[in-house]
Amino acid sequence: MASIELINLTKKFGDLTAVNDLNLVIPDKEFVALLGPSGCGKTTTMNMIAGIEMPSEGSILFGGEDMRTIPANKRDVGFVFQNYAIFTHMTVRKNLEFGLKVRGVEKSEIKRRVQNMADLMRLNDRLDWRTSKLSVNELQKVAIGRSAVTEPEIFLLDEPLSNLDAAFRAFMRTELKHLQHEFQQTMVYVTHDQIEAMSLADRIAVLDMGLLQQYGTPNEVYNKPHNTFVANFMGSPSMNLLPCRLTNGGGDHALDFGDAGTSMIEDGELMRRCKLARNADVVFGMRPEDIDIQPREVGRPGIDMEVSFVEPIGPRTVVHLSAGSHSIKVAKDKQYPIELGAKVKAEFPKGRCHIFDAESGNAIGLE
Amino acid sequence: MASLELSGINKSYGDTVAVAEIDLKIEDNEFFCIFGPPSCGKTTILRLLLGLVAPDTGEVRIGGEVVTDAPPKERNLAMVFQNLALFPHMTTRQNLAFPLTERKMEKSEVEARINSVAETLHITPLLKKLPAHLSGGERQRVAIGRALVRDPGAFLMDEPIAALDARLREEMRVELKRLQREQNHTLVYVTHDQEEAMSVADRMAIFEDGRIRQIGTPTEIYNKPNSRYVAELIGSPPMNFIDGTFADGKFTAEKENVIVAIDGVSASGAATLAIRPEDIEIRDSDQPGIDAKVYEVEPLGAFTIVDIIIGEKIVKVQVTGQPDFELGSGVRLNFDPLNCHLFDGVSGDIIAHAKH
Repeated sequence: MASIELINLTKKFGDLTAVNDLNLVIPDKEFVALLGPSGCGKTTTMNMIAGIEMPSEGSILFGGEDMRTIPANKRDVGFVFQNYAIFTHMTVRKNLEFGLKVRGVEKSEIKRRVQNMADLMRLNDRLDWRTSKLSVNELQKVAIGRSAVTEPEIFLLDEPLSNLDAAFRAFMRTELKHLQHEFQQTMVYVTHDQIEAMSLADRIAVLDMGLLQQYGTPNEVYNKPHNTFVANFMGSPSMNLLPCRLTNGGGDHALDFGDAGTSMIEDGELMRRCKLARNADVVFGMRPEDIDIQPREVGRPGIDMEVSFVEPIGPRTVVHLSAGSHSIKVAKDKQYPIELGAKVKAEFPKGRCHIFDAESGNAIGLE
Repeated sequence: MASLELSGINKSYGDTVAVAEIDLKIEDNEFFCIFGPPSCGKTTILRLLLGLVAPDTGEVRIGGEVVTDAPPKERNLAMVFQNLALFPHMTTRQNLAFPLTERKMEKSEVEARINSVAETLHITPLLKKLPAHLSGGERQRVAIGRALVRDPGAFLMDEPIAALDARLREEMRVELKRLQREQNHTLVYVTHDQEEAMSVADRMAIFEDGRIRQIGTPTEIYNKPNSRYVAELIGSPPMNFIDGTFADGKFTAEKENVIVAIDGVSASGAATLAIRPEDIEIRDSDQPGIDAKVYEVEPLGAFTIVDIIIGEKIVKVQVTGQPDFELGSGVRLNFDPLNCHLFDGVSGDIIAHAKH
């Protein structure tokens, strides 16, 4: 059993609180991403799990056992860093064998595991190469393979893909996920890249300024963000967040977007949530892919806007719309023909709206 | 502003060819991206335009005039680097004023220019601050502002926003495009980020080992890549490639059990079939199609990437929304011939484009 429990975990460096009262349960055999911008405390958290840093307060349990007195080298933890650490004077095979030899694993077993790892990482034709002859991409494969081959119960990875080129990153993402499914390790993965976290993890812990913002499956975090930080951080292009006022003129509820006009609320779910708002100042949220672009005469809820910019980014087109001081992004599949300056209506389909308190940034009435 | 032209340019450093056979015309008021992997010659192109290096052969023209031998300061080009160089002891205002006072411009004119540029870039509230008190994005704006005040013939930018975080990069690229369009600038923009290039460029040039492989609008290049090299570089998730042979109007890959008939192609021999992740259709296992198995599923919110095995090959399929797929389950794939590109298996050159 290699579940990891973080209980009231706090780490201070002088006056700076890097990790603030973090509580997190990482179940056995799960792939969990620690996600956040630089300075959010993700690497410090990982270093404490590895035993490289000691917590200021709180505790860390592996499979229920307190790790306080267990030094890093006794924790059965595999570690891969952004800057791959491999022996450059050795062949790929020797690098893969190293950790196993140190652990006194039997020769035939070493051979079997190295072969298996080479198959998995597609390094077969490189096994007898000097690592100095490898590309950056291949080096990172060796670094991951070298750590994974020892089959630690817990595998920690700190931004292992961030130095790689885009196409190879996409390939390695798939391979890492498959590796975890094959070896059934508990994996903790530190990244600032929400795409990596979404695509790889069973669960994502979103951190900001040392505080846990949300912990859930990729789809939970994406579909039901607990606050504007998470809403804005997850997804590319990011969620549209429009400050507005709830109005209640003549019994009709509406969102007043100031100089961009007013949109009636006809969505029952949104209505329910708006009624729970304590302040009239709210932030209306809408994912770029959830917005419809319609001709203006259609009378459904939305705002009249103008096309200000079109980004054709391959599989999708991002259309920027603006009205008054507001601007939003709308994502459409494939190539979407639309003219700059076109006068359209941005329509907000039912059941896809988010609403946050303007002051706290917290989601209102989330179920 | 000015057009920029490189014709018949070659430049080597000893035995190393930096760029070769460059013929490139960047039109007046065009947002032109130079795109390619590291050390493909992107930065050399900027240096040739700036006059920091002289070509071995060929001609450089700015606004139609030959400037091949003119020193940098006579070319009136403004440059923004990735590692922005702001004077740390000067406020934003002083940093913006510097290139103007250097040129002994009158004080009232300096003030007027700074105020107008600050307004365009939304940095008026930052004018009294020192660089140390600015965020990364704000500093980048000031650096761009310092190029802008000069009123140059054209702007050259070398990965100007690569050091910023992802969200800020998305915002800044839109801002740059707005600025370029509002002010009718000629802008040459070097980047290694394909999405950034696609997003902002009017046209782009794709480089490989110092040579231009393709020039076109982002949509042209995405829809009609002229080589496997270009097809691999543009698009995320990347295009899928399946190696096989082409004969009698049919592409065949035996291991993957893929057979696709492509009309109007008479070539034969080794060939590569290519199809974009969003152009593949996943069907139930009782439907006709290529036998396949779900390998991994990557949910990305707005869409899902499904990694699927055919033979020993992993194919990436992009599906809209958040559909459920069971790992290891059998499915069928449909490759519509209209969505397939065909490349020469040896040279990688295009044989036939997708018809969509």
